[in-house]
Amino acid sequence: MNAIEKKLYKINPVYLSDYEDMIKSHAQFGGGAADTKFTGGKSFSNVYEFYIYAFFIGLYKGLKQELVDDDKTKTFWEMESWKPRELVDYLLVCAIGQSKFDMIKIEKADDQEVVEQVKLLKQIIEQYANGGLKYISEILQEQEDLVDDHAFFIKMLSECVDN
Amino acid sequence: MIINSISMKNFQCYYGDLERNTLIFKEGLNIVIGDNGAGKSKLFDAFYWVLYDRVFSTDSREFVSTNVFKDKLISEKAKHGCEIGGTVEVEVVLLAKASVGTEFRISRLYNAKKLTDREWECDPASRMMISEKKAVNWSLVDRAKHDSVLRRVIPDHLKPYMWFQGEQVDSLMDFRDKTTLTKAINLLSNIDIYDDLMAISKKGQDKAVRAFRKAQNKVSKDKDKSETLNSKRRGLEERVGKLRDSIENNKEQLEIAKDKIEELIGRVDEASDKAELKKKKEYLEKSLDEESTRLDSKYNGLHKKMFTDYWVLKHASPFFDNYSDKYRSYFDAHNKAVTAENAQEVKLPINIPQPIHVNQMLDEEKCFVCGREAHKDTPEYDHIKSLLVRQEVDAKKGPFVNDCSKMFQGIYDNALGFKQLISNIDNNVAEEFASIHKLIESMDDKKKEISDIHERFEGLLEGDESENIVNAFRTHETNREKYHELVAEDGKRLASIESELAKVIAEIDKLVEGSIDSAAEQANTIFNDLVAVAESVRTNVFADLIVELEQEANSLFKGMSENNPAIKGRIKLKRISSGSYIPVIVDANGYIMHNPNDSNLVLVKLSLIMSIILSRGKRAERFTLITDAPTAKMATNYTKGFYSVLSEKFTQSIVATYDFLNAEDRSQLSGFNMGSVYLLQSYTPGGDPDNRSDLEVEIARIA
Repeated sequence: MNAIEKKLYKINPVYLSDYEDMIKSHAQFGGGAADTKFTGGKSFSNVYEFYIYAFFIGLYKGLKQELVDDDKTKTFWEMESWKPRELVDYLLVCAIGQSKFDMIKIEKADDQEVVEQVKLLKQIIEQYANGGLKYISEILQEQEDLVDDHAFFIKMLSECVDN
Repeated sequence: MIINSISMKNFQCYYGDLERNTLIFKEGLNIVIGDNGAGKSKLFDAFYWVLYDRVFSTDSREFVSTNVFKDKLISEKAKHGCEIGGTVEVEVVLLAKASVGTEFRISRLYNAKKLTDREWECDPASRMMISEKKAVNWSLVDRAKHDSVLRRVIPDHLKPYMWFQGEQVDSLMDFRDKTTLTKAINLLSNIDIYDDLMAISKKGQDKAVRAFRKAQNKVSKDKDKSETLNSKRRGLEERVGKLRDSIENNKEQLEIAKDKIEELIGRVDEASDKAELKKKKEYLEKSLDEESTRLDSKYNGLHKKMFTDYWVLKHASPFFDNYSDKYRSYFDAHNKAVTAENAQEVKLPINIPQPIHVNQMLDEEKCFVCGREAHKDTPEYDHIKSLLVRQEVDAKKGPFVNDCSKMFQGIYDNALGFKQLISNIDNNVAEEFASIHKLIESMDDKKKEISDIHERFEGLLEGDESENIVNAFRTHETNREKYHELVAEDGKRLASIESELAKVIAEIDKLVEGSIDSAAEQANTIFNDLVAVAESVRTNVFADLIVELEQEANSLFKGMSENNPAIKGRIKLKRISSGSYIPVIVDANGYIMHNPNDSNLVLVKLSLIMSIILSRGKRAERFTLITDAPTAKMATNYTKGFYSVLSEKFTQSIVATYDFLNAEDRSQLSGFNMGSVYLLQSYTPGGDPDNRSDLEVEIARIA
């Protein structure tokens, strides 16, 4: 693993504090055994699972939420701890494809430029994920009962493009 | 100890001196026959009074002490015959013999002085004397040793179960009281050792846990956070406790509903229909539970599949195409740079040829390698000159500061590998949902079948004469479903909170910096293990006792009822959620019997009482079982088995009864291990049967 790869997987994306309650309601904080996930009333056994899900929802629906310095945000785990790794790699593929991240430039970049390039990637991940979280949050606010459906998040995933 | 005799002087209806009111007993089954009012219960009172200074008050239905009962203890005839100013003496003497041959004389005396026809000045208390026979003389036993002698006659823990009146049987073995059996077992067995062990280890555990947490906080790297987490832990522990209580209560309610349903089904006479329906219902309920678990597990895994089976990538292909385009551009640019770098690469290593030789070639304007001319200002000359200014190139590094080709290629290949998988996601999701729907359909079918069985039960129950039996059945079924769901929901909540608690504890552990006081840590571990071991041992020992007890009770019950085909049912000791056991009577199909007849019930209760005494009574068979009218609620032909068991199982028993009042019935006793048989008859010598002031009891030994 080269220095850039290390830096990419050290990305520790954030979400807006506004979504914390929703995330807490649906994701197990601090991980937990997968087999207790459902019994705990949580659809996601980790925050990163919810975050990855939200990223793809944002991506599929083309929803980005820009974060500014004044925003109150929360961090959780660095990407190197997210699982499965193949899925995280795919997320990176999508993020690179959608961002201004310059694959050519970074190979010749100095430290400062590398930081800027990695930041571009972090930003796009955060924008889609927070865009997805905003969308989920709005849907749930409209129809709270939906969460009683065991397949709610799967249906949302299916419908987010078809509709 | 075996009781040799009892003698009464002016004790209640037993008027006159000790000699005329004496009953001598032997080992085996001693029977004291008497009609109502003949003095059977007063005889039982005499046994109780001499040892414990208490008699059974028919007014208050409880045992009361002498200083409450007062002159009512005295024979009416003795009181009547006493002159004003005179004194009447009441005395009961019991002779008992220990297995080693030691004989004891236990007597209790009580005097009352007649003040007027209606007023008596009674002793403030009765007096007890115990003597031990030394050779031929009686020698007084020190008062301090009285209790020890009394316990040898009948130990305190056995007393309620070995000295009882027929009417006490119900309260001694109250089938509705879930603590009845536990109390009896606790009294009669050494299970209390394990209870003590549990109590001690739990106390130690509490202390060890407190000490451990204190020690843990001491070495926390963030004491404030530790305190917050500990506060959260306490809150969660409290919630866990409450949920466990709630589950316990709901389980109990669930069991009650199930029992009620069983009871009602037990009323149905069509045995084959009932057995078939029961079997089918049990199978369906079991399958339904299994499918419900599978459904939970499927729902549980459903969201997980978005990650493990990558369903979340369902619409991701177009975004891979974006990367693909970008990667292609990158790939070209990267390779061009590599090619250009390669083009600049010098074939000769640095300093070969050495600079001294290069300078010589420049001076002579000739290449020493190929021999060609290289005149100044020609490309050949410049090429030779360039050999002097070559820079060392880092072959390893190539032209890039950060070569990311491997990484970009890796994630490209990875994403490419998903192409086929993503195209199958729709099918996979559909299959999973189809499987869930199939399971739900199967569960619905089973629910319908169970509901049909309920309807058939209701149909069978309609034949019952009771008016609201079908409604009762429905109500209990509704309750059963309600509590089943509540238990399941609470169970899920509990699992969730316990999981959260485990995480909080793990977080607290993470804050520990350095090492916790090893003594506190070890004590915590040891006491946790000890509590687990104590609980497990206690549960297992108790369960073993229950198995033993159930077998013994059914063996006695069978023995007592073998001559009576009318007697149905067997005893089952049913475990309830609190860990206690309740006795129930079940029919051949395992259904709880609803309102078995009284004779049956008394026999079952007596079986249970005797089995408790015999299986766990610590040599109980060596003590005398004394009972007054135990068969009062039994039909005549039910009693033979009871006496048979008494004669076989107990060294000595003394039974006061109105069975065998007819002389011809006494032939039933032949073949038993018999002691003495007495006939009691109350009479009034003056001829007026209503004159209690003339009442005496005639004691006739008839065998």
